[in-house]
Amino acid sequence: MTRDERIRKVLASGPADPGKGFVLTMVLMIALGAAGLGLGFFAGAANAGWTSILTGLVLAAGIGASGVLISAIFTLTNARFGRAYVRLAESFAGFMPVALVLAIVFVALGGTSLPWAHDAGHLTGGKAVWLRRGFWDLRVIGALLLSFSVSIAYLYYSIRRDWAAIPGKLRETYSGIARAFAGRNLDGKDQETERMRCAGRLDVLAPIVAMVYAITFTMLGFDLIMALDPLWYSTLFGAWYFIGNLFATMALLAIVSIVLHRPLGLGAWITPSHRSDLATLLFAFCLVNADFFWSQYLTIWYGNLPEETGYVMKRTLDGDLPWRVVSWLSLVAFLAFPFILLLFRRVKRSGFLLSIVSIVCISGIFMARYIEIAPELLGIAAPARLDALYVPFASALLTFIGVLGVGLLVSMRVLRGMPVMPVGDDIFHAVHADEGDHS
Amino acid sequence: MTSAELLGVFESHDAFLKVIEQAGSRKVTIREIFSPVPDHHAVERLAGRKSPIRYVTAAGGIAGLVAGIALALLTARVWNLVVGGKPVMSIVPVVVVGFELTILFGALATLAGLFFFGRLPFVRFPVGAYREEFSLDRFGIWLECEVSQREPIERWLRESGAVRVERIGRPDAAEGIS
Repeated sequence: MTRDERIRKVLASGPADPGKGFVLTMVLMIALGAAGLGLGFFAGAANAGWTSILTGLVLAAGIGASGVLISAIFTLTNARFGRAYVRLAESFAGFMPVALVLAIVFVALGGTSLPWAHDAGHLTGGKAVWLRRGFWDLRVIGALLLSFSVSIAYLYYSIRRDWAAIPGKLRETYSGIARAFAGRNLDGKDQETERMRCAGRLDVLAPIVAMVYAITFTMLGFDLIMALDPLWYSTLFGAWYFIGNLFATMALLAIVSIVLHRPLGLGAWITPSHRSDLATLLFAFCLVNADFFWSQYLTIWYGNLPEETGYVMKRTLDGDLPWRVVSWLSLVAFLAFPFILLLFRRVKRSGFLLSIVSIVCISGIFMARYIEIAPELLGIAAPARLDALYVPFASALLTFIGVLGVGLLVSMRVLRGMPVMPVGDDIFHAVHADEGDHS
Repeated sequence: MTSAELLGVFESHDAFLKVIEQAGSRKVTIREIFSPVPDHHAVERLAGRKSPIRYVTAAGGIAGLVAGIALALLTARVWNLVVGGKPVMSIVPVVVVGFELTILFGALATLAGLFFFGRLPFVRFPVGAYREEFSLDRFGIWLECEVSQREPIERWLRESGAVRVERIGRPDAAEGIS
């Protein structure tokens, strides 16, 4: 198959259409999210609603930025199997507006729920300056805008490179925001020159995306999560947060590529072998995530300083508080379960089994974020039993499901404006020329 | 069981792949395949036969885990290094050593298994069934089957597109060339 034939084959099925079933499922998830939010604000403990919004925010922001980061990582590493997943990962940029809306709502209305905002008087020195509402608001919104701006710049060149590889007539069948954004003003230009220019820009932008992501999400981890307990600190917390985002996004990528395999016509490009490669990468991220978790835990364990250990003991050992069940479940879900199952080749090649494992991974990361946020915001005092957590936890879980629904719907809108495969990418063509094109 | 060995020589890559695919249902064992270029299509078709190396890797990994934990715990016990008032025999710090040795022993065992099962290095290369044309433009499959099945298998190879079928490693090999 020639390069042109391959491009026509990618475009033959037209703009990405996930199908009515997918859209209805997302709408149902959004309805569940709205119900969860209502539950949190009207039936839960104090701040249960804001806990749900903050948990949804940190996860949505992470998925939005990590989607583009995964594409940048594939560019940086010249990953061959990853080419088939690049566009789906990039479409997760649809989570960015969701995260921004949640951030603006939280900063504007939910900031009063921040524990340190009421009692900032006991903070001294640099911490008193750092945790000042105006400064904090500016940092949170600024970090999100900076990270998303760099990601969108990368996305622009990635999509434009592909539009530049496509003959004019074939572009006309596409519309949507990504097409209008990155596919304009191509007529009359030397398309090959433009494609090469965009590819060059991507090579420059990929490491910048990675560095900006690491810096901004470290800061966001500090500000949005760690600062909820202003007296506790861990220099590893930012890294632990951003690596968890990457892990969860990788799992979401696996699920979306499996669920939309048929509707998006991915069968010709994503083989069981590619799926197995993605699962292996998921396994690797499971280990890296666990590595960051353990590095942080080990340091606290060895130091044995009361201001550090209290944070961990409250969440894992205190029998008078309801948190330890969620903590241990989280550990099983993001480490033990995927670690064991992803050792098996059959699991890695099976769409159904890999979806299940990926859902558990995302649940594990969700619970990890929840257990970091909820104890500080909900302020449940000892003695409290597990049932004190039922409503707030259900609210946060349902809200997160709703956030996923909105994010994926927007992502699919983004995907409609671009080819589902990176047809302007030389490595994509080289991989399929080497492997032989599948029917 | 008395076994016979056959070599099928193919011009067509498709025919070569088809024979690899069908070999399992014909009750023949593929001893070796030859190709002038790296051929992942053929490797994928052979992949149905699970590699025993994974057991070696698992054994190495488990041995590494046990060795790492034992090394850390026993060292701590012998030297009684009390750090920060922690118990001498604690599980938290030994996890790191256990993990590192799991990876190290697992990787070394995999490498050893690769050499052993891959029959590396090829000190006796070229092997008996190797022909120079396999480095030029032909593909070869070296099969093992029961002697009673030799003629039907030869027929099947020819019908499947083999341009030549040879009998290998037997006194009658020369007369068997067809």
